[in-house]
Amino acid sequence: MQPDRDVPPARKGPGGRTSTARSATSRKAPVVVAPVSETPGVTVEKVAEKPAEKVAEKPAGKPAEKAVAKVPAKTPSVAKAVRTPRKKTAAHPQVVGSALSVRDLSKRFGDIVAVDSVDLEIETGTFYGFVGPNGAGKTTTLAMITGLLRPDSGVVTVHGVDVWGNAAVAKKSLGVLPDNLRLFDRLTGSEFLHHAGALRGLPRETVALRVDDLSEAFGLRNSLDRFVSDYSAGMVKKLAIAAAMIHSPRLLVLDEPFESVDPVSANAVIGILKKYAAAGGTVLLSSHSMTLIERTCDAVAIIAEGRMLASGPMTEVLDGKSLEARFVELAGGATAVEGMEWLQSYSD
Amino acid sequence: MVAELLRLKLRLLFNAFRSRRGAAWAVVGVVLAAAAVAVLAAGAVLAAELDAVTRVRVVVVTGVLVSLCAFFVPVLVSRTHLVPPRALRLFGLRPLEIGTAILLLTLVGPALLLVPVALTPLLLWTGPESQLAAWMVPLIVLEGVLAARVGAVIGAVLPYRPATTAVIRIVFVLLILAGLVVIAAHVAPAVGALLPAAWWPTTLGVVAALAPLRAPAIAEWLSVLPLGTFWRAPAHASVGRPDVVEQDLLLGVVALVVLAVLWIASLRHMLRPTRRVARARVALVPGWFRRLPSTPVGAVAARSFTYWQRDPRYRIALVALPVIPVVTLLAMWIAGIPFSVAVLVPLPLVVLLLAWGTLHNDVAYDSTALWTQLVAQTRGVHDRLGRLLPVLAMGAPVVILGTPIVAWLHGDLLVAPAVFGVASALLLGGIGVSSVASARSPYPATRPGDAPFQQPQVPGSTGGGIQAGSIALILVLASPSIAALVLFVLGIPGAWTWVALASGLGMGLLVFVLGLRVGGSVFDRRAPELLEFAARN
Repeated sequence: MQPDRDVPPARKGPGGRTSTARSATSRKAPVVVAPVSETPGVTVEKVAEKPAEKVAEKPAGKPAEKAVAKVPAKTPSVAKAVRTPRKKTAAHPQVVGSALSVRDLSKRFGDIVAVDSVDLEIETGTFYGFVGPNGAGKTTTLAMITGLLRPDSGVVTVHGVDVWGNAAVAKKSLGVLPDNLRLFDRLTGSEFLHHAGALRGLPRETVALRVDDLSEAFGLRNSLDRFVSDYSAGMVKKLAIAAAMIHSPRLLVLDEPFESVDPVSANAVIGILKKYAAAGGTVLLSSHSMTLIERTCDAVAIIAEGRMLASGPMTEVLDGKSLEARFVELAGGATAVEGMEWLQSYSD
Repeated sequence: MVAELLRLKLRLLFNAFRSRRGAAWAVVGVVLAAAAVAVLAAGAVLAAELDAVTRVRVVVVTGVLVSLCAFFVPVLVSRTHLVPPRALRLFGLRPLEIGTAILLLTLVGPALLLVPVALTPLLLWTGPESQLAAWMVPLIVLEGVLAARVGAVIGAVLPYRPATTAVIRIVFVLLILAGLVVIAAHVAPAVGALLPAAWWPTTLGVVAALAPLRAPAIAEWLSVLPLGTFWRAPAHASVGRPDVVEQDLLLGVVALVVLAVLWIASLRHMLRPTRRVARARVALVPGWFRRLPSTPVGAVAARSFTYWQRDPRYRIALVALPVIPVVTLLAMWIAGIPFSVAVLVPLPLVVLLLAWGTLHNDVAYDSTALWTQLVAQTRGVHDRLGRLLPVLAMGAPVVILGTPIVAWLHGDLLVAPAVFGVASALLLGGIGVSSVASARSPYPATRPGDAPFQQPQVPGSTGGGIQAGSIALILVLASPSIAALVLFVLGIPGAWTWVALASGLGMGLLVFVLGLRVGGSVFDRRAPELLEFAARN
């Protein structure tokens, strides 16, 4: 496996968690902890350090390109200039250490800033968790990362290929499960998977074989001939995850993959994902379930109000606390508990 | 081995008597069989009293009936193989041996009835033909056993086909009843003569009423069938018609061969190996995805075809199409427009609505499911092609078949090229314009799963402008062709019909190709915005 060369499996602990001492040196993404109150400028500065480190550590990379990439793209014209040189080299996607690199990603809807210059660096072979309160911009960020929502500014590269500049190549190595979007639900489950496979240009026999395996693994075998519109919410999720995997991508971006999925199936999916990550695949998944993220992921990013509060290896972000406690601490969820005394003085 | 198999078969037969229910049925069967033999024997004795010609006819009909029974009774009664051929395979027997063994074993059982039945003709024939009749006995038994075997094989399949079983049962009962009535008609005069004189008036009435059934044609017709041939051969010999006897024997051999071939074929099928035979894995691909290639175009097209088939929003468009010609013709008849002119309108109208109907807003119909194409980065041209293929597949036959019909109804076949030109301008042009419109300016459509006529619950534009604009554009692009058609119909001199053909086909193809390319590039550029639009609505 090509991507495995950079990330020897020995580095992983038995639970898929990274052992602290070694990962601190080998993980290139430093912990960037920024309180919400901090000005965006500071965050950008901290982020800007990362590529420099990278160049120093990684002689295999292309320093010239990296140097261009690290220029914080504030205006669209600069962003264009950044993308252009990538287009030429991107025809042959090279496996570099970083599976996903997000720089200065921003999106505003009208007056509301949904995502505010978010940076994210995910190394190949990482099982990455993405958490945040409701409306924090998780789905928006993931949609921009996966090429579903055009960002106002920023650069997203998947294995060194710009998702928005060279989508055809970048999306080949990208498997996506978006949140809250419909499926073609007049198709049967089997037809939906064949549709997904054929859209990716896979040969028919390959698709049939993979549909077989995926339906077995996700417990969809007996529902393949039913219409997707008759599926339960959890089954729709599982079907969409199967469709995201069918072309064996290098990077899986799953938005709320376990929402309304039963625990047995969720465990099966997690098992598959862990094996996939151990073999050099990269997973980025968002979830509301802190315990699930804490239990399964090697690294985590916390987002609130469109800003990245913390990101990095799990142990470093947690800093000895549970993810839930750390999350509440960073996102400031405790404030809402005060007040509302009227709720305790029952009105009848 | 024969003794072993015989013992097996006998044990199986007697096992039927061990359960109370089985025993009851077996007794009923034995009684019925005995009754049948008794009736046949009595009939044979009685038939000796008939005149020669009538006797031949009765024997012909009886032969056909018995042959039918030998086949149909096992079809309707047999539900399992008492001795499945595959079971014998385990003893190391070869297929041919198994086939012979089972044929022989068949005789040990209900089919044993065939022997007394086959012997009854010997009671009838006493003259020189009795020798021939004696030769026929084993042939009748052989044919009966083969027919019963084939019938039993079919009968074992029938439990899975209740409707077919019902039909076979009805047909069988009707055939037997018809045969019995024909026999009764022939026997009636002789029987009537034996009755007391007081009954004669009634008998005469019955005999007179049955007269048409004594027509010689019936027996002659039945003599052509390869059924009951070994029964009627001695009969024909008795009236001195050796040519017919030869024909009977020949037909009998044909029947035997056909039955033997059927039996061997069924045996082959039943003895086929059921273990997994190593062969190339056949991909189980569902529905339209099997018929179309596994490419992005194929994926979009297969999905589109499936939606045309299943989604009420598309189906309603299809259901409406056949109504259009009727309504327009009716309206124009009321308006007093001559039929020869009115008949030119429906085809272009149908084609226009087919090409424009759902296609010009097809992306909006997908709603947010469009993401599946977005994450695969489906090229715009591929997307457009996939979506238009079903429309083209439905529209092209309509144009090709509709044109000659319209020309024929119009009365002047020379109008055909012009009609073809206009129709293809509207079909291809309509598809081209729609391909651009659906990528460039989608408007809120009925959501998936909603009733087809339900208005989308969205504030703002309902797409009226886009609808009117796109239709107008299609008509403008087709106008040269339409104008030429009008000039031709008005009788203005000039090769207008060919002008209409050339301009229509040319413009149609041009707009089709341009629409595909422009629509494709617009889709490429705006795909994320299209998804955003879908998410908003």
